[in-house]
Amino acid sequence: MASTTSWSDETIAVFGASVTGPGHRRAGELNQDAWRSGRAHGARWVAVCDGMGSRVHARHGARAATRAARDAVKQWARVPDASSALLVRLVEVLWRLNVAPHPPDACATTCLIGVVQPHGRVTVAALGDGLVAYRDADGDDGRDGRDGRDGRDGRGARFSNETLALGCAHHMNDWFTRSWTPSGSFTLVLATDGISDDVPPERVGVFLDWAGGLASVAPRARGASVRRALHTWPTPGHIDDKTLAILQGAFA
Amino acid sequence: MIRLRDVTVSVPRPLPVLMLVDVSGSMAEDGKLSALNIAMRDMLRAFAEDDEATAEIHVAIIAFGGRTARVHVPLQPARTVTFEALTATGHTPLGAALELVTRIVDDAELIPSRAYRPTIVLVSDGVPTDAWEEPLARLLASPRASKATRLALAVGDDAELDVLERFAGAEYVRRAHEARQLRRFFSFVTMSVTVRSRSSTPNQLEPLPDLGVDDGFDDLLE
Repeated sequence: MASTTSWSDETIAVFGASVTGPGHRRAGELNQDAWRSGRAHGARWVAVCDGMGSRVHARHGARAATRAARDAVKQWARVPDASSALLVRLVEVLWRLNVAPHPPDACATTCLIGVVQPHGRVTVAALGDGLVAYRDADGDDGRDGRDGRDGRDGRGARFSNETLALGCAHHMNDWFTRSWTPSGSFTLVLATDGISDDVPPERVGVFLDWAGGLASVAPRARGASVRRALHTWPTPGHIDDKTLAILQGAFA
Repeated sequence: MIRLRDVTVSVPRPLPVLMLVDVSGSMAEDGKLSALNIAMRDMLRAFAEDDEATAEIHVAIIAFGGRTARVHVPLQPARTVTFEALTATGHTPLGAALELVTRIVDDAELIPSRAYRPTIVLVSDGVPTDAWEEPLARLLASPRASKATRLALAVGDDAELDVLERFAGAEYVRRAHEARQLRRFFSFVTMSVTVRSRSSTPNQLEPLPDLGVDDGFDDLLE
């Protein structure tokens, strides 16, 4: 559907960071989260992925998922009103090709994607644990990987570090998807469960305030600000890798 | 200016341990219950003193004896538990205990989704005297309770091993014929839980050891 809104590149901020959690640092292991952002056909996009620690190639799987997101958006964004279901299917197929020759279940990973297209449409697609939170002129909304909107295995049915994922049995309708065209400014935050598990649902709005505030520093310093915050994570006993990405913009 | 510590929770993720303890009359025989009380107290002390933990060990003790099961210690951080010795009387209402523990694990207010996978430990010396098969089926079918790690200890020769194996699976059941084996089982539970509480993968469980091997050092544990 045609839209009258549009954005210029200067009004969009995309930034983030990923840090190895204390658990992996103590064990001498590498970060199993990954994130990536980019541009394609005028769209700006970001992907955040969390490799399942119990799988032998989890790090590879998470990085492969960010590449799959990049390649999927490159094709998908050519068509201004392509459905989110097509984006999800592209990611599923490309991820399997990207992890080859490893078996998908050895590379299992969550996958959270956000895209904003030049005509103003924002699309999010998410499979597995982690936080997708957004704010626009109509208010706050989003989805936590463990809440009831996350497919069949709803909120409360799982414990920490258990998740749906690419590489684990799931249905297409286990993906959370949403496309909408915000008016005015918007903030989209994607975070792995190393972050979302420590942010209670009732504080997600304040978390959006905090994350959105990071865009107020100079563009070159934004990534470092996120990294510094993740390195000094305040929850006692936290062990997980942590990845946070923010996509913020204003439409004319 | 918003500080990150104002947005995040200020307590570690819980690692819940739920003890289902048979306090039927037969447990009072042959010093079984007194050995159990000592082992339980040692375990709770070790949990409370686990200051290297990244997860916070939470403990509940459910006692089943007489006609029903009751919460002897409500689920709480191990460091806050005040343990009063258990006393034994009456029958073995295992079904009631299974119902109660399923309700607790299924309650997302008591055990939030940010908690690590709970451990349920069943200790019994006899044959269930109430309907236990349906409560066990409900536990095993529950989306949450079925994910708990389950361990069981048969105390003495009269314990119904088949029941405990249906609860935990054969590889996670051991039989204790004497007090030192009971202590070994509890030592394993203590070690396993504290290792998990410090681990980068707290949902993974070590294999249950053989309690029958005498390593020649048992007398030092007295």
